[in-house]
Amino acid sequence: MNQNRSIGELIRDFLSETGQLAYFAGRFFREVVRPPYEFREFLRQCYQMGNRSLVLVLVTGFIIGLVLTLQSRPTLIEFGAESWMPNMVGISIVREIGPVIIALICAGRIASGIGAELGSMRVTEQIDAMEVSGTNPFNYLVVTRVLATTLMIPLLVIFGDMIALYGSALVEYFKGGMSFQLYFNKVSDALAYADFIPATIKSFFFGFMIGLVGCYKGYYCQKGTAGVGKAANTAVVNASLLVFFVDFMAVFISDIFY
Amino acid sequence: MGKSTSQYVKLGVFVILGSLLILVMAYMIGNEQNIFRSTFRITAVFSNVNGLQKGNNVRYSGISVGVVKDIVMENDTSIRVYMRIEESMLDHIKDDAVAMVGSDGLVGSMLINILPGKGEGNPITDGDEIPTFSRINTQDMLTTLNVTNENAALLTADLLEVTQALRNGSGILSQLLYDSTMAKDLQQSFHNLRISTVQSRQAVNRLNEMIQQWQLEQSTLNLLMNDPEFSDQIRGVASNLDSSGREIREMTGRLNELVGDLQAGEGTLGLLLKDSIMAEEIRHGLKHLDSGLVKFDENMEALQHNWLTRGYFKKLEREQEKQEKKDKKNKKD
Repeated sequence: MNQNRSIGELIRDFLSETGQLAYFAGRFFREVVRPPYEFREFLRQCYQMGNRSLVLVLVTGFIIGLVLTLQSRPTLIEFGAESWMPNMVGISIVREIGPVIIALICAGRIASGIGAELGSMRVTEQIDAMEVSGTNPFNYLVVTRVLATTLMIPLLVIFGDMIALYGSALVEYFKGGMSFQLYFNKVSDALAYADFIPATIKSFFFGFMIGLVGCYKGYYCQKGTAGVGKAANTAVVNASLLVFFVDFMAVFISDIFY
Repeated sequence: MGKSTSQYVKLGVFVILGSLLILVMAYMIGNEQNIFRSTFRITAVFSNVNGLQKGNNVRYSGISVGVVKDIVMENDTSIRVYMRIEESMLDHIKDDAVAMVGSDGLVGSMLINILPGKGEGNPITDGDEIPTFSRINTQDMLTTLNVTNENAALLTADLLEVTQALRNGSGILSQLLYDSTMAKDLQQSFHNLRISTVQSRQAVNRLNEMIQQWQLEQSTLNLLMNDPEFSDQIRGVASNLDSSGREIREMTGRLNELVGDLQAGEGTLGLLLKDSIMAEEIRHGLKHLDSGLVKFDENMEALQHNWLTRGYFKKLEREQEKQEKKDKKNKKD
């Protein structure tokens, strides 16, 4: 049904969507400081998003570290630079691969979950009911979720980074005979705050974007069952795109400062 | 309620662990950059830092002891590098230590190497400036390597010629390498040499034994070699010989003078030898004397036959006969 839309209409839709999202973000910042504070709901969301995603993140991170090291080894050996493996893997995981991959995984798991959950609440008119009953649904549903993702994603990223480095060290230990102590010494030698701090800061933005897009898509879900599916789907796509966009911005800004 | 409490506990563990990991990572990075240790600052002035950057490591005798904090261009030829060094190194780094810009491996990042001085300097203090040494940079090194390569190529060509000459030529080296007869000869020579060495060693041993025997026994040689009295005597004989020689020389001189005088014809003998007139006169005189003697014989013969003197001569003959008989008798006894 969207096939006949012109480029102008697409641009207009895109701008409109961006504007609505910006408005939604503005509303979040207004509501976050306004009581009542839904603390218990916030903790519940933290548990749902943090703890429940941990296993997925750990497995993915471990495999990333393992595979990255295994794939890079032959090339580095060819250059006689095998001892540089910890430096290379450490910097690439902490600076870029860790935050982005884990943010994408969380976009898939969390953003779709939020989109589907809020979408179905919207479709089943639970949100409308909350508004009628005097409860602020935005405060209860959106603020708690966005705050939870903003705080949990950086923690998941650090867990992912560590397990990825451990996976890489394991490969080096078994294939190259490098001790764990030497591996982590080399990693910490190669890393600087200029690598670690921007990566951690951008993880907060990734979390914020994932939560915001998920909530926005679910909150303004179209009517019907298809609407819920679409909300979940577009939440994942848009959150992933925004992760890359934020990543680009972060690299750009950190290049200016460091 | 029970379920949500356990969720909170799990969430708490998750958050605390995550925060700890962030702290651990921050500490690991900060530890490498000496952020959490007490440090002091030293400076060094270089003419070229070869791409050194803030945060690069500083090593003292190969141990990582600090980081480069700042790099400031002082004027058109000198760059001041500020380094932050661990305080525990204060006692070890002396003010005659030398800073040098180097790199971590061939393609590694740049760093500053501080090399210890001769150990005679005073311990360094906060804010001190240490001397520097500008190491040869990669470009200069490559230029030198290029020259070395060209030389190596020339050397290789020469070596090739020598090898070919060795392989194809008939010189002594070529024969050594490829002539089996010569190898056998050489082997035989070495064998003989070994035998000769053994024999000469035996000879030397025997000589040693002999010398030892000479030294031990009271032989003339030992006496000659070891008796101080004898050597004094010898010395006396030699000095006598010396004085005798001197006298003989004097005597010979005098004889020479005499012969010279004789040759010059001075004195009676000289006259006899040299004066021909006198010689002639003497010869003449002798002739007269000879004829006089003949006549004297004739007179004596006449005297024997004279009756006045005949008795005397007969008496003489008888006494002579008696004497002969007595002599014969004595011989028979």
